[in-house]
Amino acid sequence: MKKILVSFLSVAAAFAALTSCTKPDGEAALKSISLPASLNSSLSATVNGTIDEATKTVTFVIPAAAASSSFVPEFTLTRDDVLSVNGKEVTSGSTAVSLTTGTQIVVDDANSAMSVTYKVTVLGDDQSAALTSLIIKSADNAELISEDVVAEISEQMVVRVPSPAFRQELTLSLAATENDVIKVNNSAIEGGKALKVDTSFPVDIEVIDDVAGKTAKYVLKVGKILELKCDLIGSYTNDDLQDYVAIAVDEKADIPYLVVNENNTVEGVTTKNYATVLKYDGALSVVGNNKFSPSSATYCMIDVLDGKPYVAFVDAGAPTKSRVSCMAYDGNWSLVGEQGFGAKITGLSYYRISMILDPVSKYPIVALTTNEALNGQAKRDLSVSIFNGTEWDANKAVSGRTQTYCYNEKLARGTDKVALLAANQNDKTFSLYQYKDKSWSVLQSDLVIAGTSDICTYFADCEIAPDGTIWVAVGDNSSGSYLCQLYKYDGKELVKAANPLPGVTFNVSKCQWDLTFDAEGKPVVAVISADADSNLSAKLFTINPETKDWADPFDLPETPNASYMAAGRADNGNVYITYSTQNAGGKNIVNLYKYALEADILPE
Amino acid sequence: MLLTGCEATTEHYFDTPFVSIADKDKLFTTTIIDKDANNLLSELCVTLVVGRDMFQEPIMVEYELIVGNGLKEGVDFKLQPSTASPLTFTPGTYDMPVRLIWMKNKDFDPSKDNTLEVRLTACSIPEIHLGYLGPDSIRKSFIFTKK
Repeated sequence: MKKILVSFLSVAAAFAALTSCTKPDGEAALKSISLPASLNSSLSATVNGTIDEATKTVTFVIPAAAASSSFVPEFTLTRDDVLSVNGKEVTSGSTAVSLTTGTQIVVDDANSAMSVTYKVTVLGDDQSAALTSLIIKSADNAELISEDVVAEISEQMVVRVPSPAFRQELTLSLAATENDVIKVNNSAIEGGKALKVDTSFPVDIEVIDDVAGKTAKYVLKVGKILELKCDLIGSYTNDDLQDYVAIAVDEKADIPYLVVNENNTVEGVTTKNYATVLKYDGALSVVGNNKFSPSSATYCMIDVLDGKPYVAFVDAGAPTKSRVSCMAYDGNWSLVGEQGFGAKITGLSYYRISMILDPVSKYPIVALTTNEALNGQAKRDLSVSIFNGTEWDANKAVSGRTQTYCYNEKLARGTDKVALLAANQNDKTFSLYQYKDKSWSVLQSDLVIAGTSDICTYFADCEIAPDGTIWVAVGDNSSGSYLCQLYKYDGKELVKAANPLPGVTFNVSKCQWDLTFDAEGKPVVAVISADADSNLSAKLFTINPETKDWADPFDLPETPNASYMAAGRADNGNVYITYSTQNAGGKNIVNLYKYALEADILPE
Repeated sequence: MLLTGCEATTEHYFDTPFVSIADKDKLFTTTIIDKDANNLLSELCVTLVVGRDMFQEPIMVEYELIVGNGLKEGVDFKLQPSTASPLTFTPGTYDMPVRLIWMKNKDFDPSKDNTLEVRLTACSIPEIHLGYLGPDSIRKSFIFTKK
């Protein structure tokens, strides 16, 4: 019995052994694969591979920060399969393999000839969707842009292009971080370029990174590079208006004031040249009453601080004729000090007066060329009168002045000082003085322009730039005809700051210039000049002080009818220019221009 | 004695999704355009108020331009093509612009109807209400008047 049992068991065992050869499962497939963070120190989190059976691909999205391409995978296969990479059998959770795009994972069925190969794709996940550059390239936008315009990347971007490219269709070049798709105005771009983008509208830019699962949005506005423009902003005319005009700008308020002359008719008797002050605050309007001077007021000069204009003039109604009076507006026009103070002036057209407000006391200072010897001063010399709040300290010499026979003078106001330029006819020199802390000092006694046989003293202008530098624009004939020369005081002396104004020669009886400074503090000269046929024209010259080159002048459109040109500036850099023209009927018109950056234009 | 009972307080949940249109700052639904304005940009904002559960796929919002007989597209105004109807809100995007540029028309006739209405008309999810909730559906349209 025992023998039979042993035999039976032997047969059973043999039968069992025969039936243990496994049937193939008919499959060879990768069911799952991952790169566990626990087994791969370069990963901060487990990376699951995405298997696409249709395409036989496996995709891993691996953070870009992971420096290694060698990983230990964990995987599951269909029954009895063996996985190998690069011919090497891989044990799940144990064997390190190199995984890069193109790596082949082979799954072989151990019980059959079945074998499947998967191709690996590795996507670097930079965890970012971001625009890295946006350029409007000149190469892509020929004839519209001469230099690449590079945007500073931010959610709201503004770039500026020159006038020809403004509001045009432009090609944009864009780049973003890895794996990103860039859309411009809802359309995906190709080759890093967005073609024919209408920049008259804001441009919507979207950057999408499906790998990182992030999106970023931007808006680009293409504006215009602003240009300096000179525009007519106001005009004043009536039947009594003469052609004289002078200007002062309330720098802080950015309000220009003009002083003009108007005839005054009383009981049929017309007296010329009464003073009227206009101010521009959106439109030109009369300040107080017009024709406010006591009588005829010639060579009016105006200055204004804190909204209070002062006017000085040769007063035909003064008790002693040919003396200067000064008036101010503070709700009403009233005399400043006595009517007719200081020395007589000649009244000749080339002996003008100059008036400025002391920036410290805010009271007027008047400079003129005398026509009488007074207080020890020689006739036809420079005389200064200073108002002290109560009365004029009149007709004083400038301390330290050695020249005689001043032909013209010009005062200029800075923030804490006054400059005074005198044209000395006898020795053909210019002198520069400074009034500060209630005393005068000589900055330069005798500027001589080399080769000059005659200085042009009719219009010697002096101004103080926003940075405190004193500039003068003087006329000389060193080139054989009168030219406007620009000098600046360098702390020791007046040095030449520019070549003469190009293409402009001055007829002394017909021409004038006025110096001021643009928004960047660079000199601007407003000029009335005459051609060989005495035809007048008005121009605006700007300069690059570094190159000493004058730019092509801006031609003011209206034709002057007289040689009174005046310019001034506000603290914000706006420049105002005024001169008179005449209509077809012979009526005088005083025009006011503004030279400033054009109003900003952005698509918003 | 007539006894009247008060209604019990009921709670209302304003959880109906909606889409609205207003100016860029979401303050106004009308504006005047100066007839002399040229190259003037106007930007409207279409706002989607919807819960995350409903916003798993892009939502499309359609609008139409109702142009008065005094205005003409391409002459008085032009629409930025990328902001034309329909607007596609991708999940996570709740505001989208509609932009127009207004141009000066030398033949402008003030006696005509110079209005342009931008009106929401449809949404790919019908449950999303057009305009604010309520019978008047305010902020369903924006009206420009050129004058």
